[in-house]
Amino acid sequence: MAPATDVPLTRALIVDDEEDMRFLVRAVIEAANNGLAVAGEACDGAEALLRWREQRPEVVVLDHRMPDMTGLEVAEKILAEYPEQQIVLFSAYLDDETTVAARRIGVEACLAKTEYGRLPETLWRLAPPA
Amino acid sequence: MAARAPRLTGGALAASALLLLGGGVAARAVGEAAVHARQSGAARTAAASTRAFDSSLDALHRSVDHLAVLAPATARVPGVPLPQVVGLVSPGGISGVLYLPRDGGPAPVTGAIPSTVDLAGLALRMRPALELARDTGDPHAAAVEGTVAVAIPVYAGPTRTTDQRRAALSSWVLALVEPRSLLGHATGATESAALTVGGTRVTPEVTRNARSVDHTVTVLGQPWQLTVSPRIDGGAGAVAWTTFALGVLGALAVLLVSRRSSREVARAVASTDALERETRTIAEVGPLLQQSLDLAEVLPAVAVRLSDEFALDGFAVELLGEHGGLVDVFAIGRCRGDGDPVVLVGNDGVAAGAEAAIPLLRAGRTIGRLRLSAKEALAPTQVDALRAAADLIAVATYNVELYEREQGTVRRLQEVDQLKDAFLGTISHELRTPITAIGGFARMLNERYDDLTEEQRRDFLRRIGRNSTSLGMLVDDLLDFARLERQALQTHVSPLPLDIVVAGFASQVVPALGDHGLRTDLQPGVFAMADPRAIERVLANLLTNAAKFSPAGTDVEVSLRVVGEHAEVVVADSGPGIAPEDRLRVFTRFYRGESDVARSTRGAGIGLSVVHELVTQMGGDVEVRGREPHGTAMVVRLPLADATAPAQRASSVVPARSM
Repeated sequence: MAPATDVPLTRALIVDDEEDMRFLVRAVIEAANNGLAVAGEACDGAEALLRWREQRPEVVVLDHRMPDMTGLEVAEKILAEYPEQQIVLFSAYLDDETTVAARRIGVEACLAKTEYGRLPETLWRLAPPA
Repeated sequence: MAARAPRLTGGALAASALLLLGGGVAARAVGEAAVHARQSGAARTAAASTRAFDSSLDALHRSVDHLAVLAPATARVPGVPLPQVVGLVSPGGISGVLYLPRDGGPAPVTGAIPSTVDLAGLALRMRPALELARDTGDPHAAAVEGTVAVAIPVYAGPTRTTDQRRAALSSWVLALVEPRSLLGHATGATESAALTVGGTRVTPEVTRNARSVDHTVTVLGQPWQLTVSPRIDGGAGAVAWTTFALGVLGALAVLLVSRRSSREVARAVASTDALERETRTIAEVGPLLQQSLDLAEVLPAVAVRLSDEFALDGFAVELLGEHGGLVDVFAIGRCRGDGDPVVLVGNDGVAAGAEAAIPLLRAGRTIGRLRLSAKEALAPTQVDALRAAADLIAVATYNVELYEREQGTVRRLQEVDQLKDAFLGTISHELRTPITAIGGFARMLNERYDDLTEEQRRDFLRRIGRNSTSLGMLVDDLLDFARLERQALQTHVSPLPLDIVVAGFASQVVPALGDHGLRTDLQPGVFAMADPRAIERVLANLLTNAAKFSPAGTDVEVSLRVVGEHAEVVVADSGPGIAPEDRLRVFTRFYRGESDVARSTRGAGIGLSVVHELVTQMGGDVEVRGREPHGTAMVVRLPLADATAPAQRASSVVPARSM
């Protein structure tokens, strides 16, 4: 199911204000391995933009509910700078309104946090390691 | 008020008629008739003449069934004042008011006008007589479809010149005479008679013969021609028709009595005019009340309209409140309000200067009353009209009440709906975060147990424990919320060693504070009237709140001391603080603040409302204070229990004021 290459990697930037969630996402990605790696972590929208510009990850795993701005606001800023960026909106509670808004601004995937197990396959789908 | 037609007894009529013999048109008419009688050479006794006269007047009296009152809508415009309001006055009172629309459409009628009387048609057909009566000031007769109608003008204002009369005309009084019944009574079996007025035949033609006699007199502006023909086989002579002529003409003179007795006529006119005006006023009040569902908007207009029409100097609408008392919803002018006004029932009138009340009824239920102060006396018919207005106001009030109730329900449902949406969104998010974390870490441990170091396993377990604690608190919040909603959040207070309870719970709650330390400063021996479980809920909420808002690594503080008659528990943080304008609102359910920090924190917005409810139930209070340089102090004050050692009490017995 997964491409079994070592390099280059699909690197993910993990954005979540909850340390536990960042830790969990990191653990899931590292456990999956198979071309997936963690590029870095950010605990709010401002830090997310900073790290994203520094690291240029293949995928951004983006929480929605954050202190300074929403995940969708962060996604909008990123996509304005780089429309090709692959983003997974990773939220505890996804209602239709949020999903529709995400699709409209160009977010490729939405995943509820309870489905963290599907995170690796989503990352592989969005940004297959070359 | 009933207007009365000139219904007099025969004798009185005769006397009146005889009085008239001295002058005026009637005298002339009767005089002419007398001349004819002399010329015919018929011998008559005075007694026989009087008897015949009396019986004719009786007949006339029966013939004049109705007085109609015509009010020209354009009376002030000289030239073509066609009647637009027609009132029918019968001996029993005003029986109806008919409005004639200018466009010739159907005429709205109030009251009952007998279908046999076509007043509208009558008014149109006898227009020349109406105009002549108006211009000359004298009664004028017209023959219309078998009826002789005599128009008597009634003026309001000077009447010296024709122009003045035209301008002052307020209405006509019409006397409707049915000559057939008059003739039938006055002529016996031996004669037949016919009457033509102004060239128009008002009775069927009679067969003329050699002994037929014609008499013409000019009465009421018209030539009246009487033709009396003795029947061939009968032996009656001229005596009969002379008596008849005298009777008819005398009878017509009586119509003038009705004119001269202008007080009655004027009263009939005024009454019809007033009825018409009152009817129109009430008819206008209905649409006025329909204009808006805001009583404050429509009641003033209605009050002014009714006050003008009925000369009221005070008008108030009072409605029954929830507790049975009367609530003043609107008042204008002078309503003293002291003592109880007379409640009008049945056929009451109101004396000038008196205060009265009309019940506002809705579906047999009294919903309030209309209170009024009469400047001038109100007749029972006016009170009836006001009662009709009261009914309209009652209906409008009831409609408003229904509308407001419905709007209130809709608003509440909308609010509940919005709160529910917000609450569900928040709680879904809040519940899923720890559930996801617990599930995720447990799965990691399970699947990768052998790959993990001992230290990593402990870390996973710590994370599972922490998330499980916060999940438990969230569930407690939810339960509290449910109890709050059901108003089932109850406390049972007893003297409680607050220092011990606070210290015990504080040690339990530390793990839930994350990377924040807890500092305590508790005065020993402080007993307060409190519920141990409620104290735990209060502390749990305040401490986790404080931890949420504090910068990482900073301590949260809890202190206890006696201030006045209260035990004061203060939970303080060094977070960004709460803006003064938000310090009251934070206790509102679901309120989470607008600041970035508030947005960033977890919570369903329930905790502080639960704290407020619990503390209030224990007889205490809670408030937010700012801290210098920054931070928030939540201050909970509970009543001291007697068990508190006297030494621990402050010297002052005055409760400490908040700073």
